[in-house]
Amino acid sequence: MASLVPISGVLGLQRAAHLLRRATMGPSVSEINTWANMTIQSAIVALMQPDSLQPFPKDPNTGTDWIYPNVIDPNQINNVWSPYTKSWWLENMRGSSLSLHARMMWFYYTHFPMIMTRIEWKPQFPIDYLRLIHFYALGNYKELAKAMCIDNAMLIHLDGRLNIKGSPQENFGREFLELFTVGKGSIQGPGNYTSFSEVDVQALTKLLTGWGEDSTFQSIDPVTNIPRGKVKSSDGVSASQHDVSQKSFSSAFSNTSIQTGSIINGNASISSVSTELDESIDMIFNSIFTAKHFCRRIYREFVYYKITPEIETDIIDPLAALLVSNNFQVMPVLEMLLSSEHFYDVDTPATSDNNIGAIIKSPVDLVIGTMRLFNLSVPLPSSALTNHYNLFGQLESQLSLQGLELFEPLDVAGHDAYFQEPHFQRNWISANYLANRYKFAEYIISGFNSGSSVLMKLDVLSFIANQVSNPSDAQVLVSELVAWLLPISLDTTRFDYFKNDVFLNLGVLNWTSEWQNYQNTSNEIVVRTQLELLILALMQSPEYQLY
Amino acid sequence: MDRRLFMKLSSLTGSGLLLSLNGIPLHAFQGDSLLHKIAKSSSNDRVLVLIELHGGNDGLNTIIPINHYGQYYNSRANIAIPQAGLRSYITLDSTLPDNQQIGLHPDMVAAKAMYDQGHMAVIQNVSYENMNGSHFRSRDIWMMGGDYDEYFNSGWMGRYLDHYYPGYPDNYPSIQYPDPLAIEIGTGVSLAFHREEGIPAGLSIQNPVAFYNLINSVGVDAPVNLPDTHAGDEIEYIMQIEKQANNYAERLKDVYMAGSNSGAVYPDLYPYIAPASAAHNPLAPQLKIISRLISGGIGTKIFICRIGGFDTHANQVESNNTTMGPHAALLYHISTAMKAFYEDLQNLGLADRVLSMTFSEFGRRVASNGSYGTDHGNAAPMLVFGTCINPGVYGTNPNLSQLQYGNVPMQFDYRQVFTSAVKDWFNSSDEAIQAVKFQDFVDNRIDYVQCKILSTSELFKENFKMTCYPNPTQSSVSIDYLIQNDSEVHIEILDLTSRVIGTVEKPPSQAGSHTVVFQFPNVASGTYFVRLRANEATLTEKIMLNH
Repeated sequence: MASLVPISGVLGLQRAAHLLRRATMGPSVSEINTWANMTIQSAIVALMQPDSLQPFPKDPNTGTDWIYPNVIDPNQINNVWSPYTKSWWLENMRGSSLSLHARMMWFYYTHFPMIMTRIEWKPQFPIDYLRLIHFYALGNYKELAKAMCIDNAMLIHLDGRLNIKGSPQENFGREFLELFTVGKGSIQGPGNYTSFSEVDVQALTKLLTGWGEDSTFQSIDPVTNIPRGKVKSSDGVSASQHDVSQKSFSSAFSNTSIQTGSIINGNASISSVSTELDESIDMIFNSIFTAKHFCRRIYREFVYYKITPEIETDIIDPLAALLVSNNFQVMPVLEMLLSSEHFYDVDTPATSDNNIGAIIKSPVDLVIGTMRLFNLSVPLPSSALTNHYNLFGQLESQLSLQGLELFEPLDVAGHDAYFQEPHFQRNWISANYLANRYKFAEYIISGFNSGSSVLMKLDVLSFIANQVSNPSDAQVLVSELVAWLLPISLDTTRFDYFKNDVFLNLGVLNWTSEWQNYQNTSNEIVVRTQLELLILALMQSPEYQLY
Repeated sequence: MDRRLFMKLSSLTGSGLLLSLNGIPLHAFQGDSLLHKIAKSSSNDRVLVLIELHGGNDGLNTIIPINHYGQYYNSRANIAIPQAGLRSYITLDSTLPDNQQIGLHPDMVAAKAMYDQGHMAVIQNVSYENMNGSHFRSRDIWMMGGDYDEYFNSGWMGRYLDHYYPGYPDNYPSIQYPDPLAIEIGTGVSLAFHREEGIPAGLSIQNPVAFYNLINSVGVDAPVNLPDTHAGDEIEYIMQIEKQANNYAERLKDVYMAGSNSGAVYPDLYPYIAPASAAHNPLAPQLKIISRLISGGIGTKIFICRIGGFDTHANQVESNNTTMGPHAALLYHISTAMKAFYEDLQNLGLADRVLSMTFSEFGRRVASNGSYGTDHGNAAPMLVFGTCINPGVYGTNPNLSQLQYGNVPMQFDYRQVFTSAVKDWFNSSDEAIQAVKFQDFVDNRIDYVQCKILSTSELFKENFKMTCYPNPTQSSVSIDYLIQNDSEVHIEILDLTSRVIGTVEKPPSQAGSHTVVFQFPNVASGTYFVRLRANEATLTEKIMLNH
C-alpha cells in the first residue's frame, strides 16, 4: 500500500539527492553532501524558504529594463525583448536557491502555459506573467487560478479579451475547466465530461465576458502589486461588454446559477463583474475534481507519470483532501508528499513500484540541472550583459534542439510531456531529442564560446580535484561521481563498464600512478583525457536522462 | 515487390497460409488487367505523404466560393480576395457547376497548373461532428482518428502500421523491412504514429545525413541489466529509441545517398510582400528529402511534413493588399512545393506511387476580425495531390448564408478522406480497416484514388474460393470451392513436410460451386493442408486432424 507516512532519521546521500533533484532546479555536488546530514523535517523547512527574482532583464541597447514606467525602445520591433525575457527566466532558475520556489514556477508554467509570440507585442506582459507565477509559487493555487483569469498575458493568449457579450469566445473558458482546474473526466454523454460539460463552458464564458488587457499598466492587483487586466468600460462605472444574463451551470457544479449583482444603465457595475468571477472560482474550487486534477499534476511533476488505482486511492485522494482543507495552500500537500515513505520508495517491498530515478528530465532540468550540479560559472547580467545574453541564447537553442521551445509550446495546452496522454514525459525522448541531449554533454565539456572567449565550460580536472574525496583512487572516484550524477545505483556490470571499459581504458590504465604523475609534474594530458571520457560517458547514458 | 507483406495483405482469412504464392507466378492471371496491375504495383510500393498545416488553415481564402462571392466579400471585406484585377482569384475550372465554382488564391498558380494536369483534387468542408475549437484537442482527433469525444492511446497511422507490421520494434528492422515504417520530417514524434504500447512506429528526422552524423557522434554502451523499477522501464524506453535511431540512421543515410533528386527546381522565396518570417518555403526542403529517399528505394509507407503559421488571428494579409501577406505566402509555398515535388517524382518515374494531401486541425471563422485576421472555425478544404488520383472538386461550396455559429459546417468527416487512403491507396484488408477503426467510413469514403487495386481477397472471393470444414476434423473434411471458368481442378492433401498424403479423385471441373469430401487415410493427428489448383492458380487451407 502506498504510504504518505513521513520517513524519519537523517536523509543520507541518495535520499537527499533524490529530494533536491525533484524539489529544486537541481543541487550542486557539495549541496548534496551537506543535505545528506539533514532530517526530512529540516529539509522541508529549508525547501519552503522563498526565493526572490533577480532584477528585471535589461535591454542592452538602452541599459534599462522595460517595466512601466520605463518604456521599450520605440525603434525596435516587438520580438527583440522575448529572448531577453527567456534568458532572465533561465538565469533565475540557474541562480535559484535550493527552494521549491523555482521548481513550482516551472510547474505553474507547465500548468498555465503561455505562448510568447502571442503576447510579445507588449513585452512587459510575459514578465508580469512570470512575476505572477512567482508570487503564488509557494502560495495558493486557487488565488493564482483566479489571478490568471485576468492576467494581461492570459487575456491575450487565450483570447479572453475578445470574449464580449453577444459574441462569446470560449477559448479561455474551455481551457480553464479542461486544463487549469477540474480537468476532463470520462464522457458521460454528448458534451458531458463528468467534471464539466459544454453547458459549463458556455456559462463560464458568458460570466467572463467584458474583461480586457490594460496596456497602460494602470490596473494593479492589490494583492500581488502586479499589473493586470481590467473590466472594459466606457463610463468608468459600468461594464460595457459584460453579459448580464443569468449563468446557469450543470449538475457537475450542483446546477449553480450566478447572476450579475448590480446593474447600472443596463450594464453590470464594474465591481459586480469581479464578484461574479469570485463566485465562479468558489464554485469551480468546490468541485473535488479541481483538487484531484491538481494533485495528479503535482504527482506527475514530483513522483511519476503513471497513476494506478492504488495511487489514486492511497495518494491522490488524501492529498486532494489535504489541499481542500488547507483552502488550496499547496505547501502542506508538498510537505506531505515529499516527506512520505512513498516518495522514497520505502512503503512497498516490491521494487517494481520504485519511483526514484523514474522521471525523464525535462530539457530545462537537463541543461540547468547540469550547470548547477557542476556549479558552472556564467557571465552575469550585472557585469557582462552581452556575453550573458549570448550564452543564454545558445542555451535556449539547446533546449529547443531537445524538444523544448521555451515559452513557445506548439499548443495552448503546453508542452506535450505534461498533458499528452498516454506517454507524458516520454514525449521528451525522440531520436533527435535524445541525440541532442547527449550532444549537450559534449558542449559542456568542450565549452560554449563566443568567438575566442569561453562563456561556460566544465573544467573536469579542477572539478574532480576539488570534489572527490580521494581522486587517486579510481574506485572512489567513479563511485562518488555515479552517486552525484545518476539517480539510481548501478549493478556491478554497469559500474565496471564505466570504471574499467571507459575510465581505465579497458583496464589497462594505472590510474593511481597517472594521478601521482600529474600531481608531481602538472602534466595533465592523460588524466584530463580520461576524466573527460568518464564524465562524458556518464552524461551520455540513459541513466543520466532520469532523476 | 515484397512477398511477405503481399501475402499478409492478400490472405483470405488472416491465417497467412491460405494463399500460397510459392511456385504460382502471378502472370498466371494474365489477361486480367486488375491482377496484372497487382503484380506490377504491389501495395507495398505505395507512399502517403501527409502535410499538416499547423494552426488551422483559413479555407475560405484558400478556396473562394465564387457562387457566394457577395456574402464572402461582405463577411471579410478587410481580407477578401478580389474578384477582379491583376491579383484576383484564379477560377479553378469553368466547366464545374455553379455550386462547385471555386477560385484559388492568386498565389496558387502552381496548384491550378496541377489541377489542369489532373493532379489535384479539392475536398470541400472537411471536419468532424462537434468540432473542438481547441488546437491541441482537435489535432489529437485528426491524428487519433476518433470522434470528438473519443480518447485513443494511439494514432490511426500507428494502428495501421501495427496491424501490418506486428511485433514492432523487436522484429525490426529486418531483411524484408529495413526501413522505418513511418517518417516524420522534424524532430519530435506526434501522436499520429503512436501505438497502443511501446515506442512509436515512426521516426523523426530532419536531414538523413545530419541525423546519421548526430546519432553516430554520441552515446555509450547500453546497460546490460535493467533494474526492475519504474526507472528501469524508462531506461528501457530510452534505449529502444536509441536503438531505433542506431538501427535506422545508417540505412537512412545510405538510401538518401543512393537516391537523387531530378533536375526539378524546388522553390524557396515568396516573391511578393510578406513578413520576413514567411519568406522562405518551409515545405519544399521536406518534400525534396522525401523524394530523394523514395528514389533511393526506401520502403517507408507514411511521411508527415508539418508547416506552421496558420493560426492567423491577426494580420494574415497586408493591410493595403489583401492578396499578400503571411497566409498568401504559405499558400504560395504549398502550391509551388507540391508542383516541384511531383515534377521531381515524375522525372524519376515515381509519381504514381505517391499520394499527398494537406490537413489542418480546423478551418477559420467566415467573418474576419478587426485585425485583418480570422478566428478558429470549423470545416475547411483538404487538397489532394498525385498523378494517380481522380482530379476534381468533391463536395459543394459552403452556403455562406447557412453557417453554424459563424462557421462553415461539415460536409465530409475527415475519416471519409483518410479511409480512402487506407483502403483504396494502401489496399488494406477489412481487418486492417477495423484495426484502424475506420470501418464506419468505408461505405461513404471519397473516391479520389484512381489507381485502385481491387484487393486480392475481394477478387478471389468473387472468382475463386475454397472453404474446408469441419476444422478441426476427426476423420473427413468437406471442401467447398468456387471456380469462375471451366477448368481442370486438382485437390491434394499435404502434410507439414509438403508430402502428398492423398488426393480427391476427379473433382468437378465446370464453372460454379461444388462440394467434395476427403477421407483422411490412417495418418497421425496434426496439421495438414488442402491445396486446390485450377487455371494455374492455387488456394491452400490449413486443416487440423484430431483423432
